[in-house]
Amino acid sequence: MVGIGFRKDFAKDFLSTTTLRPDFIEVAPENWIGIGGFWKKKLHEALEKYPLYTHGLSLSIGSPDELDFELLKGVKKFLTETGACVYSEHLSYSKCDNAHVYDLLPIPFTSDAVKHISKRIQTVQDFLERKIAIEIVSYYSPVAAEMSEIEFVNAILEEADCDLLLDVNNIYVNGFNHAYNPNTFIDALPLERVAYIHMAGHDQVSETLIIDTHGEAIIDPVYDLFEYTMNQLQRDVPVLLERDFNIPHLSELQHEMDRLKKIKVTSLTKEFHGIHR
Amino acid sequence: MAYIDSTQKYQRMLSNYTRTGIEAKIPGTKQEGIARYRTMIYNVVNDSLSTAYPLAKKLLTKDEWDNMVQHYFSSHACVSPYLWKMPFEFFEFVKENESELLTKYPFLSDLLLYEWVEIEVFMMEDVEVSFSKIGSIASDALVLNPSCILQYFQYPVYSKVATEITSSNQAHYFMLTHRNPETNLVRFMEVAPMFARMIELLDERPFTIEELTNQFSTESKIEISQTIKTNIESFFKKCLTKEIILGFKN
Ligand SMILES: [Fe+2]
Repeated sequence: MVGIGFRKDFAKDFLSTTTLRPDFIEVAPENWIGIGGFWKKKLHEALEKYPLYTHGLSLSIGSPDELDFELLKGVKKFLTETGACVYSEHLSYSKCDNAHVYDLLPIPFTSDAVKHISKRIQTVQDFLERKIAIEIVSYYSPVAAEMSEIEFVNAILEEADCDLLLDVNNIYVNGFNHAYNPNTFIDALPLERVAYIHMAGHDQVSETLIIDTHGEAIIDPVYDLFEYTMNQLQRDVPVLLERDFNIPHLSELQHEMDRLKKIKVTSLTKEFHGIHR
Repeated sequence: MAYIDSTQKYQRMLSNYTRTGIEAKIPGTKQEGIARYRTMIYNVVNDSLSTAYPLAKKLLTKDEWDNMVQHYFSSHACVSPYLWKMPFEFFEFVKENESELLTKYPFLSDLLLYEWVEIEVFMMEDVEVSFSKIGSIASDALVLNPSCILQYFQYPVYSKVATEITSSNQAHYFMLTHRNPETNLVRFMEVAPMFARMIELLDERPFTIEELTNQFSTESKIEISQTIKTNIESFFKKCLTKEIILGFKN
């Protein structure tokens, strides 16, 4: 399955034409909770046609602040009402000292952060009565790290016993920004935990920095890394194309989704032939 | 929950820096990347406010706008996890904390509120109400469209271009903003104080025109003449065609 992030920016076009034909859609619950009228109608139109995956924005799982149970209540209700297949969130924080910053800040890679966050993920999973998938985010600077990123991520996945949302573009971006080999990083992940994959475009802003903008087409090296990931995975995992800004003609997005599907099918059938030979 | 001080401290330093722009020396960071967070986050907030308040932004000079946004984001802790609701906090902040700007532009908080109400009515959750399309305007109880907000203003921010509003325009204005249940479009209507009170009553439960008239007359100690009664009926007829009144209670 290959899906698309359902954006208000192209909702009308998407729902009234057959240009874009995803297998599922993804939304951020925070953009749709407590909303009626026009947008509620559009969301329902979309839900009549497509299964829903969700990707939270404001839970701030890595925050020193208390968990926001009011928000979680809203999320739980939204997941039930929409029959969402997956709920995912970011391994980052977006709220601190009771102030939301509406973006994803990098967590210090420390052992006490591991403990703190793992416990919170467990609490969230208990509250929602489902496993959640945690996404490794793109980051532009480490913060007072005591361990490597991969040690940090793996410790949390293990301790929290949650799923992994593997954003392949994020791994590419982080590999570039922090000078590591993204393939090696993927090899070191517990791939059996991957429940969901994200793919997106990015923007290189300087010789040393790439920003994860979701505003460009996916570049070839990220497709290559995706192929590598699929070869390692050898499982059919749902893949999402994220495009949040600078939305092109929908046929271009379909083209990107077709390419993702093709890579996926090729990687999976390769192994199939291998087994039978 | 125990969470070792240094991890928390660095997290606070970073988030605080993204809100204020005041540099903090956080160990083990790369300057270029950290600066990006500040820019990105400020842009998210500024974009959201610029989209919510295009008229207010146009009214102010660039410096006034930028300073106001910076003042807001650095000193106010945004409580809403929903970005689309965050601009309401901005309105409340400006009303309480921007005395200098409010002196220069006395109608600024009204203007922000007017822009916010449009967003709120467009976005607000659907509320199910039961009503019948068939009935008599003269004798049946009227059912108000639940997707509406009645708002009091001191300045006619909805009918005059902001730059043309002066202190001589200060008065009591009531505006009814509603969402059409079929088209989902938002419409504004200025209403007289008497009608504002009647809408307020209808917001509690359905009333007949006669009940509304009697209630208003008792409260205001105003004798309602036949001419006024005719006006009231034609006002509610208009509300019915505009779907401010959805129909009648069976
Ligand atoms: Fe992602």
